[in-house]
Amino acid sequence: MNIDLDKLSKLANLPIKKNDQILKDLQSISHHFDILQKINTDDIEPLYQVNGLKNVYRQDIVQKTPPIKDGYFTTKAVINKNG
Amino acid sequence: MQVTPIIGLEVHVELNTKSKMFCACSASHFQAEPNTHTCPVCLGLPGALPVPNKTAIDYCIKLGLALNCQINNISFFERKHYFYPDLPKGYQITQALKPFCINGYLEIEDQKIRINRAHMEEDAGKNIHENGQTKVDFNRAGVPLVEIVSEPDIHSAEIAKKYLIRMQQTVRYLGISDADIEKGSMRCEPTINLKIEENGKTFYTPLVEIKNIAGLSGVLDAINYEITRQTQEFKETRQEKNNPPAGGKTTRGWNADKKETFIQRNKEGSADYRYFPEPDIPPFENLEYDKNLPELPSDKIKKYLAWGISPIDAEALVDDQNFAQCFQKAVDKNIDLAKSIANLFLGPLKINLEIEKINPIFFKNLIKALDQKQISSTVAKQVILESYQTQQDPLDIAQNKNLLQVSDTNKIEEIAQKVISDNPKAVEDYTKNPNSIGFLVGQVMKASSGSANPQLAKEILQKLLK
Amino acid sequence: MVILQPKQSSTKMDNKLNAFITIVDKVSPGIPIAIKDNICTKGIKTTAGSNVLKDFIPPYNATLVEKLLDNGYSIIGKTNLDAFAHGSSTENSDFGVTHNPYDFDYLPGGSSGGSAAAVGAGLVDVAIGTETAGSIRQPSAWCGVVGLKPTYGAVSRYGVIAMASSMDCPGVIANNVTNAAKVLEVISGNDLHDATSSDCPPYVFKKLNLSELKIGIPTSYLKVCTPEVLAKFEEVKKTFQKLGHQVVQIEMMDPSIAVAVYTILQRSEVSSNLARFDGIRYGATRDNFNLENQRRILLGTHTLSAGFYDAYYTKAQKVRNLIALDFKKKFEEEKIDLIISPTTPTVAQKIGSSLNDPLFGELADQLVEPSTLAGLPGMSIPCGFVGKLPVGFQIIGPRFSENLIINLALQYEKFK
Repeated sequence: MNIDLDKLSKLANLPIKKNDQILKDLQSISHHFDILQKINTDDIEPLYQVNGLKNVYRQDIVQKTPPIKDGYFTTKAVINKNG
Repeated sequence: MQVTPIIGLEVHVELNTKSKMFCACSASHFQAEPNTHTCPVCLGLPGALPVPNKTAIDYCIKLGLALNCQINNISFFERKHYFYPDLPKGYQITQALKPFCINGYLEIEDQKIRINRAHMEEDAGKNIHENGQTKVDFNRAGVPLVEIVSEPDIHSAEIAKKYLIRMQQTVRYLGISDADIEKGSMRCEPTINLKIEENGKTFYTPLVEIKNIAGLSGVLDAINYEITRQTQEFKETRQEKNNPPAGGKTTRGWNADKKETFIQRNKEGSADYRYFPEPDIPPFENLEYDKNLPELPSDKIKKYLAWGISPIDAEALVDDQNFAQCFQKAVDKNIDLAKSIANLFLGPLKINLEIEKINPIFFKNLIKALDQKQISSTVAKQVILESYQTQQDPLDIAQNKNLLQVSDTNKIEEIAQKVISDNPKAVEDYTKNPNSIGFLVGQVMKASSGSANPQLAKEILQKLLK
Repeated sequence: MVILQPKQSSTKMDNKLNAFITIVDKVSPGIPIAIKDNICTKGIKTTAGSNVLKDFIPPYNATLVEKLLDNGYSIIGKTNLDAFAHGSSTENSDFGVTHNPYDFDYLPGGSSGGSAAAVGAGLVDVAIGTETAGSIRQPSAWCGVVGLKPTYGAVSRYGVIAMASSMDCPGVIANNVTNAAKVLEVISGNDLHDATSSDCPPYVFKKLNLSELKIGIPTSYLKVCTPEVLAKFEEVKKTFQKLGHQVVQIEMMDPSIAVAVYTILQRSEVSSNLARFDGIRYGATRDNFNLENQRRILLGTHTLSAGFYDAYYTKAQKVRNLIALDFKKKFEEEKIDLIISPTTPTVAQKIGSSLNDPLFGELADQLVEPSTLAGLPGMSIPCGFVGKLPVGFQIIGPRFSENLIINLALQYEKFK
């Protein structure tokens, strides 16, 4: 299994130094993968939601909340958008 | 070398719901003090959860229906992951696999531009880059957007413009957004490449998506710039679509000052958004929705063309829904009068009209009088506006002001004699050039306050000046 | 049991147990309750056991906290947990490990170790925990207390710092079944702020006279347990038989399958839920995540990424469906009323043991993960000791069978 740690680190916005331990941890997931691959799920739908709920929404009503911050949040400058 | 641009348009429409897409904060963010319309949900605080706005969903489906889309029986939200300061959760709640609306089209003139999908998503906040810092305002974060993606059926900036205008009109007719391209409540991102045919061979240039364009003219300029740029680039590099390393889709920004596109620094490879179904929002199935739509711009245009109105005039009439409704009220059942009434609307009545003040009987009377030459077209234009403003029958107004067309030969002759004697130079011009009679006719019209029958006036003048 | 007064000092150095991260200075009148520190309490620091949130003070209360405050409960403090609930030991907290009240050299379990230890030590009668894969039931078993994980959706998740959104369940840890039921009555019920909360009114206890229930014991669950735990569980089985219930062996899917599904789904949802911690609006920057957090985020990013998503995430969700169907079959077709088993395969492990064993959590939680994945309610009840260390057994039922579970647990408690 090819795991590109640099790519994952960027995608996850987690600066980590490449190390064998993390690579080993990541690769250990493959044994879970193996267990699942052996199970036949041909006519089975994914169970994204266990509660069987559908069509949940709220009415278009405004409720004011006291502002959490005065003015802008600031961070150091970003240059390009990843999206 | 024959170049055919292939253009797809992605349009985002900001809905005018009262509250945001997933929380109860006010959605009217324009010019509000920064971070005053925020709450744990739209700020992405730990523990906060999204709950969808029913009105926003209704609006999205309405737009889908207006775009002749199929409404998906099952639909759900998904998370699209990327990191950027204006995206509070580190993911945007949007739709991917199962959007609310798919497979529609938008009609412009004789073309049907196919629509791939119309789906719901939430807007991000606003970044302001200043002095090495990025300042973030989350008032806009969470505002509902409908994203409409067209197929690449557009082949020129002109058609792109027509598509965008029709989309804007349609959205406004539905009352779901003010769709103001200048203010940003309707945004457009074109994706362009070129089909190049040369010596019997066909080539495709790599796809370019252009982002961050403000304003309609910006979109058109950007498209035209890009067509030129890609043509030139192909001549120089012969780089084709899907051919590594440079054949993938790139994103370019639009510089409105320099009027050119520029590469936005890209990561190697395309972004991996790691979409998966939003676990915090149950799916939608067999949603009930209102199938009723108002008469849309393309419907009205078909109708007006059938009434004998020219395509250009029809377009002008539908640009504003209220204006078109007023016009139709004025026509009422008198379709044979439609063309003449259209002239009045596109002339003196091209103002903000109140539909309660439109009385079809007045229009019918006026056009009938015009046909019977009881009134000249100049006077007709004059009195219709006053009739609208005062709610009086236009013929009564004309009568009271002595503006009924004078077809009494003697009366006109009287006026004509005076005009001839008052304008010796014009008379001299006429002897040299018979076509210059227009000036003298105009003087007779003026002297009669527009009530003289212009055709008769011309004939009488010609007779007198023989 | 003697109720000890909670330490009023705000330094946890005095508190050898280290069950609390924050102790409230001025406690308002009411029934004292401790809240796991991954649940937002307005004006009270909420750290999720992590340095990323070590100074975070939420501007709002979780819905369950509002309900507790409205119903006469009073928050005495925020309890320790594995950072972001990533763990089954509480050893993974950035604020130090919590000790097992029955033997300080041992772990309390996790991730709700602080809440379980606080109740186990008698510092408080009731505490709130959360469970995504055993984090209520497992520490309750190890600390000798009652741990109730409700049906997914029965208690609002609004204000609960999300780990795996499709599984997280806030629940109750208590010194007895009655107190657990009382708290559930308060915190459960539909919440308009949580779109996944069930369309139901709050739980209300109803006394049932239970007899001749058909209780199933999954053979595959017993295979992984130590002989000492099995011996204690055998006594539980006999108790239910004496109470007139029919106890049968049932065949269910191997728990290791649930562990595989859980690991993939949880890591995936975690990588997403932790994306909001970027240090801009609140909290510290992402380099403050501890090693276990980083591991889970990276793994989850991997399982969701292009090329791996179908094989990992989608496949796991399909197998999850099979697990849910397995339970459904037992309850509906085979007419099993409730399922029982030991809560954990072993008793509490020594402090330090989770650090060297990457499979620690998997082994500890394997008997509770299947029911969590299916969204079912489960309750752990103390059933004795192995040496100094407590043993617990669990009762699992169909969705919204809390009343049946609670009544059976009461019956057991009374009999003992």
